[in-house]
Amino acid sequence: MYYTRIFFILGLLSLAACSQHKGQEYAEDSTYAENFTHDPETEINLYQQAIMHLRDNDLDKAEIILLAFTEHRPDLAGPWANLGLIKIKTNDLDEAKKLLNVALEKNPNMAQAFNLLGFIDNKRGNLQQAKQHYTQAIQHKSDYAVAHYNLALLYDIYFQETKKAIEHYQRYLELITHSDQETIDWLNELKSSLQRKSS
Amino acid sequence: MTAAQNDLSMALKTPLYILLLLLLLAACSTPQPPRTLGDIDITGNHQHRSITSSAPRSNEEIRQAYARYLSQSGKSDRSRATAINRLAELEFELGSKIAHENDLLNSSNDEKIDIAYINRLNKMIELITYSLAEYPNVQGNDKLLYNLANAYEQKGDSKKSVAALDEIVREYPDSQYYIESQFRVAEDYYSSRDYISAEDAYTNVIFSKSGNKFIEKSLLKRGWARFKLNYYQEAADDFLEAVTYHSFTDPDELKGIEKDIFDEYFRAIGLSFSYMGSLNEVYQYIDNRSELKYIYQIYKSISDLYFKQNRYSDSAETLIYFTKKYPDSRHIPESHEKIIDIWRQAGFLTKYYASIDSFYSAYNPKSRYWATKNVDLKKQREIDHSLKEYTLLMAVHFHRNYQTMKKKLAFSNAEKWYQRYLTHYSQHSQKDSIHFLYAELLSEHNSDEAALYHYEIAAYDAGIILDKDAAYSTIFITSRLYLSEQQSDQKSKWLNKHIKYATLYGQLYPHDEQSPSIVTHAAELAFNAQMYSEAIELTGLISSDADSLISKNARIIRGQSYMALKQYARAENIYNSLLDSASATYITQYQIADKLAFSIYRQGVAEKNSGDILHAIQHFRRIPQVVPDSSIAPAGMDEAATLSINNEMWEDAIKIIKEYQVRYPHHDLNQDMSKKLSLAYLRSGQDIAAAQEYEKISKSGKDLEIKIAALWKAAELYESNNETLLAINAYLEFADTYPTHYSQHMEAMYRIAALYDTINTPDSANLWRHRILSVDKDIGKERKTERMNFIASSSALVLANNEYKAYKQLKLILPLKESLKRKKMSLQKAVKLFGQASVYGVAETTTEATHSIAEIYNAFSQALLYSERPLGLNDDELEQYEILLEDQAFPFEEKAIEFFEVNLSYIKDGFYDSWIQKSRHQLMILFPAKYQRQAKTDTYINVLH
Repeated sequence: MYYTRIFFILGLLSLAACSQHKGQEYAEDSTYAENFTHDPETEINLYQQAIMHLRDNDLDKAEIILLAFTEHRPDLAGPWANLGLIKIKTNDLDEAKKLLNVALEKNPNMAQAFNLLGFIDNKRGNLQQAKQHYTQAIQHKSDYAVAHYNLALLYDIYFQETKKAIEHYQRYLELITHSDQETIDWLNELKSSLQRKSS
Repeated sequence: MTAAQNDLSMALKTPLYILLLLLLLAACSTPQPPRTLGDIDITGNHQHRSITSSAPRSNEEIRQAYARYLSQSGKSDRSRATAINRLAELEFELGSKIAHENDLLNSSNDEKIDIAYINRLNKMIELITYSLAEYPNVQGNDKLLYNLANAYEQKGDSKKSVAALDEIVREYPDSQYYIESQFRVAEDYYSSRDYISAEDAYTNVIFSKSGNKFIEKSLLKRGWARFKLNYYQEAADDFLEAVTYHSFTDPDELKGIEKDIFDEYFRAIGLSFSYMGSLNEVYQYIDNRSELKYIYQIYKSISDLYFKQNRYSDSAETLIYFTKKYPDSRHIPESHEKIIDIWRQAGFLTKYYASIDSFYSAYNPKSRYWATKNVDLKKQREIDHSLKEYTLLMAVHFHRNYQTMKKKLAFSNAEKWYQRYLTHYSQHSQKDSIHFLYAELLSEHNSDEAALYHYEIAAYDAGIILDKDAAYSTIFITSRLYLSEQQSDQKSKWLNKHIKYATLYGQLYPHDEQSPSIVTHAAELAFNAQMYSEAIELTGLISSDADSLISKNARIIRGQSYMALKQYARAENIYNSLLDSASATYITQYQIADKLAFSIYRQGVAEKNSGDILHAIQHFRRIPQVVPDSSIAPAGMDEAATLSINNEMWEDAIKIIKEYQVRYPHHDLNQDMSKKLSLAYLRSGQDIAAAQEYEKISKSGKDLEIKIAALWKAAELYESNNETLLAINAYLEFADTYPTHYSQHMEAMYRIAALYDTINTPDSANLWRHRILSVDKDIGKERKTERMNFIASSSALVLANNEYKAYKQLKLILPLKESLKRKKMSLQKAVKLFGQASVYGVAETTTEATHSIAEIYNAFSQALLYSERPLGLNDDELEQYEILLEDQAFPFEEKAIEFFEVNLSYIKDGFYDSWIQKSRHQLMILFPAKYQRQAKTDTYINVLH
């Protein structure tokens, strides 16, 4: 019941967050972090605060809150994964990998953590590993558009497996809610080249 | 007085009374009422503005002041009418302000504000109506009527609005509001479909003061009114007049609104003509109007309209008429292209292709058109570009026709168009694959010799393959020509070409699935024609991953070629490897064994004839060790024993004969061998041989394994103690003495090359690297170890890099033809060597070699682009020259991309090293649309657990 409630509130807050303007005033993050309580609603609010900062690319503020979470609620996977994401954004890939592995210890089915591990492997040239991680991300979350895109890119550029690349680009385009003309154009190009090869 | 008049009177009076009452009260508190109208209106109409320095007043204050003035002035006051008029204007302004604020605020109080606004309009109407009734002859009543019309229009009462405007038209022909009023009256007629009245009214506008802003619009609207009345010719007159009045600039340069207006006018013109009657009537009308501008646009608009109405023939005929009537128009080529496009879109294919044929006749580079017309460069390029596209299109069309129907006419037409392309656009032929397509046509027509000519151009540039498919076809065609040719000199010509092209293909595409068959077929033809060296070179191109049956056939050809050239040791290597492989199907195991035994026997005979008895004996003794069941083996042992005895090599003779007796106890020669053995025992008389140092043992020892081990140990000791020259000598002896101990033999040569490098003698080192590669080709893949492959591959890589260095130093300078030839030759050499380095399947060297091949092609493409330009070119010539260079460079850049991508394909097999990374980096530059895209991450992860 506790978790059901948390998810419900989180969902509502996500909707609310979408309608907030960037310049909106938030409570001081350090205050939240210092006065961390185990009250579910307060936790949700605080976590949502961190998400807002991430969205606004205010990484320092997001990190303060997320670190408070990992101290007081180390059992939650989300804060570890977001800390990993921050480290990727600041190009500290070693630290990011450690944090994402912790996230997967807390939740072995966390598709987003697998995707980010794939991203790191991809950057480092560990391409078979990257492929495995993206595939795991999709196995745990079949409608995960970004993971489909990344896997498609891997098949397209590195493994030269055009058919598989087309399959995942298509899935990505079906799943996204915004328009990605660049990928649409490239997909058409790939299909044409495949047709040319087969004819 | 009627009831309505009473109501009006009351309506006028009630607010006036209230107003008067309010004004009286206001007057009590105002010490000095305004004396003139100018004093009242400080912020309003500037014509009434006072020159005093009074502070500006609000409109509401001014309105109240006018109201006070009206209450105080007598009916005879000359300014009273002006005051009423101004007060009416103020009411209108205040009303408009309220409406405007209402729009801005999107107020929830809409209804109240609307009422207030309507009240203001009503007040204004009341005031003006009152004034007009009271002062019917006062100057300025035209303005009051104009304002009254506007107020009614604001209220939505268009009938009364038009009535007011109509009164202006009737009563005030000199008014400044006359033209606008007349135009608005005309618009009202038009919208109420009274086109006759509308036409009159628009005509009045058109014939009133020249230069008024409503003339052009009235011409257009009168045109439409006449069109509605079925006066199509008059309508066209008006539309054309409107175009003339507007005075457009060059139609080709028009943009934005101007272009939209232009298009609208010509759509109207086209529509009028389409209703006018037959095409001849239209032509007659236009032809009679010689003063008309934009003749082409008129015909085009008619054609466009017919096209939209699916009257395709009329659409095309209109433009055809234009081209005939106005042959000197600068729009003739454009209209020809349009005609072609009409036939195409209409699906009238016969006319479509006929029109293209006419286009070609009219505008091909050798046509009279260019001699007689002074066409600007831009236009010339446009026509040239279109013609090139049409020529290609026609060639492909007839080619397809021929493929489907196999009709002679289709073939000759296709041939004609390909030739036309090559005559005029040969510089683009490579990019458009014309030679290849033309060759395909000729090949399908069984014109093999002619087809070969074009395949060769498509496939090669100074011996470098540019087009893989075309290269494949040259091989296929030369084989066909060779096999069908009867004359020996011609036959030889086709075979030489066939061998050359098969060799190039095998070198560049060692892993292509067609390569082994191509190369083996060529080798077989070469062998049958006694071209043994060529057969050997060809079979050396077969990669280790080739189909085993094809590979085996190739190796048999190779072995037989070596035998024919008396290179028996090499032949032995070949047959040895064949015996090691799985059971043969092409030739029996027994036959191979006999060939192997014979090759060793022939080596023994050769050594004996040259006086090298020791090596001769070794060879004869090897026969039963290698091929024990061969019928030649006993004879070989007999030869060995006889040689040993004749040269007093008693221990050897004893061993040989004993071995013989064990192996062949019942052979016919047994008795004779026993005699020889007795002789050997009697004559030997030697004690135990002793040799303490390894090198001495290796030279004098009898047991081959000990000799090998001793010599190797000696060489390694010299090497580890930095006795380089002694080490080189020991390895050299090893390499010369034990060529069939493949693994150690290769290692010895590898170390020799490395040691020569340490004493700065690169020429010697590279000589040995060449030898490594040569020996490697003779060794069957069954005998090769990973180490041997690495040695061969890395040796090839060193040689390739040497060539690459030389290649990079060659600059493309003037005279370009010579420097280009040198650079291409160097390119070919380097690519061949890198290709050789990559065939061994050694990951480290394969990726470097593949990357380097790509770099070579890329560098060549760049070198072409940045090559030294010929002197004395003008701007146009220089531009053409650079386009030509780009066309030449393009295939090499494509080739570079192809090989960089081949390197990336190794990732699939689990390889990823710095060379693949470098290839990827280059692809990001050469092919950014694909390779610069990055993986994505989430902006945030909205999951807590």
